[in-house]
Amino acid sequence: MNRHSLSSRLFDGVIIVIVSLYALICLLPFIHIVAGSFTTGAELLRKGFVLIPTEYSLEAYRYIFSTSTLVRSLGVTIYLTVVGTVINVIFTALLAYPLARKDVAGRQTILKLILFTMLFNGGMIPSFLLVKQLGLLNSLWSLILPGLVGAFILIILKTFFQQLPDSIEESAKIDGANDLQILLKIVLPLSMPGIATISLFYAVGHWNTFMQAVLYINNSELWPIQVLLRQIILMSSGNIGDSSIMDEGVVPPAQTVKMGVIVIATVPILLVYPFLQKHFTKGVMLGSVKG
Amino acid sequence: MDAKQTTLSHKASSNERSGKRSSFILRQLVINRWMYAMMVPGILFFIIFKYVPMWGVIISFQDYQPFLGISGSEWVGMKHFNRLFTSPDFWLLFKNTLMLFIWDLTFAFFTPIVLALMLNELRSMFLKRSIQTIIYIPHFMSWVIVVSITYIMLTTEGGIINEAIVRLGGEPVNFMLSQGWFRPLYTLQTIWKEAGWGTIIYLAALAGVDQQLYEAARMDGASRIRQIWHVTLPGIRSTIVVLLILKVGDMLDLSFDHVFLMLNSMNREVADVFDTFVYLTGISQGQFSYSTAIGLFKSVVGLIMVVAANKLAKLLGEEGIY
Amino acid sequence: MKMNAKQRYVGALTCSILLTGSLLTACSSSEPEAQPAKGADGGTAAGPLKISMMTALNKPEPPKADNPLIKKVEEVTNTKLSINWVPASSYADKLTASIASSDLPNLLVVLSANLRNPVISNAVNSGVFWDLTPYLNDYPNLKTMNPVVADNIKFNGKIYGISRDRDLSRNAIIIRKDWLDNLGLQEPKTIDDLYNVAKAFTENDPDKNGKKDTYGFTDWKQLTTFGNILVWMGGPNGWADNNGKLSADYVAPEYLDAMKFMKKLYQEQLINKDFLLVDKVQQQDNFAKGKAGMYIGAADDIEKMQDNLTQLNANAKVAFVNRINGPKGERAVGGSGHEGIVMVPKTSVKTEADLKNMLKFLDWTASKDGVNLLKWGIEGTTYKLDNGKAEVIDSKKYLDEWESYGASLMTLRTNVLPMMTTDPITQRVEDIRKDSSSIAVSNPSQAFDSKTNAELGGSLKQKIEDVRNQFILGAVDEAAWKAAVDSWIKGGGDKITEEYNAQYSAAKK
Repeated sequence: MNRHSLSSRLFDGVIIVIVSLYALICLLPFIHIVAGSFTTGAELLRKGFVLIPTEYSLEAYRYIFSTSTLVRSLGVTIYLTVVGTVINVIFTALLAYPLARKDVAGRQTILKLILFTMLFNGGMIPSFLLVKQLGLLNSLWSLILPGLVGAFILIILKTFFQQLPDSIEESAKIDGANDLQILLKIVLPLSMPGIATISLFYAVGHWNTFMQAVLYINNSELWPIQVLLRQIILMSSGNIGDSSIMDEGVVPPAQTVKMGVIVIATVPILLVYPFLQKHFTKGVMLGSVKG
Repeated sequence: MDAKQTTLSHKASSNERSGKRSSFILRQLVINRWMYAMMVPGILFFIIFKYVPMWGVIISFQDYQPFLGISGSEWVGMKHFNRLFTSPDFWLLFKNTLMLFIWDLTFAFFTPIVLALMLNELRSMFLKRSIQTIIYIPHFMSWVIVVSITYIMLTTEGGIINEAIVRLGGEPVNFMLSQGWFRPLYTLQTIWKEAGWGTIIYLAALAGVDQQLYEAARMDGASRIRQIWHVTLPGIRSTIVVLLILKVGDMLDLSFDHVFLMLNSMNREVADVFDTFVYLTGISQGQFSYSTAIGLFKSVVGLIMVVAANKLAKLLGEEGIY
Repeated sequence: MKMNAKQRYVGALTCSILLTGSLLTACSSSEPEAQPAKGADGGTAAGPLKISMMTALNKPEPPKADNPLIKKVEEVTNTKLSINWVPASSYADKLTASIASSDLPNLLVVLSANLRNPVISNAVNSGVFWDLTPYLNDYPNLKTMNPVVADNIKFNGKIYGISRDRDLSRNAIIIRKDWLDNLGLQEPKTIDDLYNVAKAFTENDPDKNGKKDTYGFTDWKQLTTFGNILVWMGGPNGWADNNGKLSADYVAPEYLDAMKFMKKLYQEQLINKDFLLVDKVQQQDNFAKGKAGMYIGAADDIEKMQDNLTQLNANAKVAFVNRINGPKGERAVGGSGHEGIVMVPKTSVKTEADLKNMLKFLDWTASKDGVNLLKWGIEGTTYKLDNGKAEVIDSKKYLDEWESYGASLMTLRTNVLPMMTTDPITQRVEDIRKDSSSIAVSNPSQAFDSKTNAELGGSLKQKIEDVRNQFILGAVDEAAWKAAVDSWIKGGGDKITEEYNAQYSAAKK
């Protein structure tokens, strides 16, 4: 370990202070929301910004969990996230690796064409017609296939793959391995930070699936959680831009319920990151180059 | 397999080489058969789900009606584009969009990098991991929530900030209705919401920096800051460049929700952008063709910017996207 | 590791293809949404009539498979209902996608917000939907459609859907009665009264807590307070007949008067100063918190504020004022009288016989039995009759399983039973529905289409209303307003006026 010089320690201190302050700013509003979900509507109104509720109440969660729909849609979303992410990562890695190798002819053209799709797209109607023609309507596949490989994510992974020194692959080739084996046995284990990153991106994407579900899935049994949760929240403030007086008979849920909904929609996916963090450690490369 | 062959394959176009070319391609396919096989599913995906629906951009040259479809809708050529470019608002929208992009690029782009570097320097694993998790919480708050929190803090009717200002003897400031505050507020909100999330990519890239280089720098007596400058930053340079190029391609793209929620009668002159303009004249009125035309315009500008940025990057010796 | 390289290659290539292939077969393995048999016979001999429907969902979740309301409806009408409940917030997109792909149910609900959307009007003009006008007289209940509402939903003078009735107006001022009592004031009856009450609420500490922390009105970014004051002052609701021709509210003299009134409220701090930023919930919270003494909106909004109001203000009492006397008498802001219409697409209802089956079902929903089943449920189980009025028996069950779903299926309400209630506030709200509707001033332009409005209306409106708001906040003067009105006229307002008037005079003949 290094000698901790004074200037180094000072440096540490400054960093810790800045970063902690920033974390606090990020955290406070969320604490407000969590606190708000565990209190009563009246307390929320009275105090405005609540950090520690003085009146503790589970009324919001009781309302939310009073229907079996929530649990079911949570199940759908979890299934979608797990299965979807695994499929996404496989296909993305398969495509990204060859594109990262300089000796693959035509890769520049392919990359240009992929980049093009990031900038130009046909819009909602053609995509809807395509999904319909493929017979995917009302199936969970309509939520997985159209987003199978994200162009942005693909480019990120390709960039990560490019960081690996050529020597690794060359020595593996000398040992007689083919490209697929190199990818699976050598490149992937060394690229865990990259794989962890794109897994997180895909997982969050699936977790947030909303508009596609509304368009492609008519069967409410298959609704992912965001459809249900947004219905609860948007019922009261209306659509963004909605200008009509709310339809009669619509009694919007309390503010506390809205907050509870946000907590339920957010906390599970927040818990994914700590699991992936162990893959973000330094020095994974050490030792492999020398071997 | 050297780079020369690849370059050759792109340049070979004359007739006398065509014979050589087709056999060259065949040879490539065989030599790198694994590579090409691996790419098949992904490429098929892009063709089916990205290129097949691209016919949708055609509707910007029609007066498209969903029921009539492409074949039934009337062709109007450049009518919508003319309408866009001759609209008195066009330059204002362009300027507002561009300004927000510049603010974003100047402040919001670099914040995640700085944050990631700082996190990277933390010695305590526990502190590092917990802070990482905390700072990406705002990413999951929708813009409705972010703007709502902004309102709670900044309103003249009992907002926290204004209460503090009054207590210190000042006059309450109408932040959200002011033109001058719009861009700073917008940028601060963007940073709050997305900076933490943005650190993820950089942290992953930082994990790939060879530890031995740090050792060497320390041996040479480099201070912490010097180490960052000479080892860390160069290590993630290609990641930064790629993200920068992609960001530039998004020049005219903004988060509609975000702007729409912050837009009001008092700040419209600086806050109105293409996306909110399209909303009023586009989807809500069923004007598909016009909104698609605007989208096409934005895409073309984005394409030009990306190509230029990529070229520039390569000129400076970087990898670029392609 | 020395295997036959060729074999391994072929194996891996096959795997890759199989992987892709299996995903593609997933495409065909899922069945597309099974459309129920269209236009089966009237449901007598060969089993119940299958009806598919798409409507908006206004609750967090759609009805369960065994929902008693739906079952009862099916039983009574001998139908099998297949209802697609679409989240209301995304309805427009779903509607567009369905029309674009001709993926339409037998009965399609089009919400009032979508009604004049070019997607719909073009679909109507392209013959997507049945013209119901010639058939309506054959059905005893359908022909009772309110003519005012019918005008509002017509396309080119023809009726293409059955209206989902709503009250023409539910508008009222919800006011703190206890504050009025504390200050010895009467309920306001004129515009001047409104000003005086607002002033007193702001200056004279009506909640008697020794602090000057209250004000008169709470408004929100859509400026409902302004809209109501405008109509009470005799101004138009959107558009009005001015000497036989329609003209916009912007050009009416009362518009500027109402603006000046709002400006006065703002300057003297009789209204929440940040109303331009505030959404509906926050507007209601201001009232419920005890900061504002008057809330202008729908009378039944009290339901959303009552709980919080009483919990935070033990002495709070509310009163409702829905009649304000102005230069043109007592008027109320009127809506369209409907929340959408039920249309019948030709692609899924192919023959006239099928159409008649659909109309028969729709007629039932408007019949005495039908509408009351949908509104109140089953007599004896969920409600009981009390002197010709319906009293809900189990209000929790009613709310959970019935209310919103039934409301979504209702059409005409001519035969609905009135509500029986012992709660004075609820009774007052019911009375206001009738009362405000009787003096409702509606927006005549709702009956017409304007091409220019579809193209430019949105941005024109935004520009001129921005100047209006800036005027109210004191940022611009009257000259700027007059210039803005000119811009509106020249920028397309005159064309819009022309287009509306062409249809208006044609309709009057």
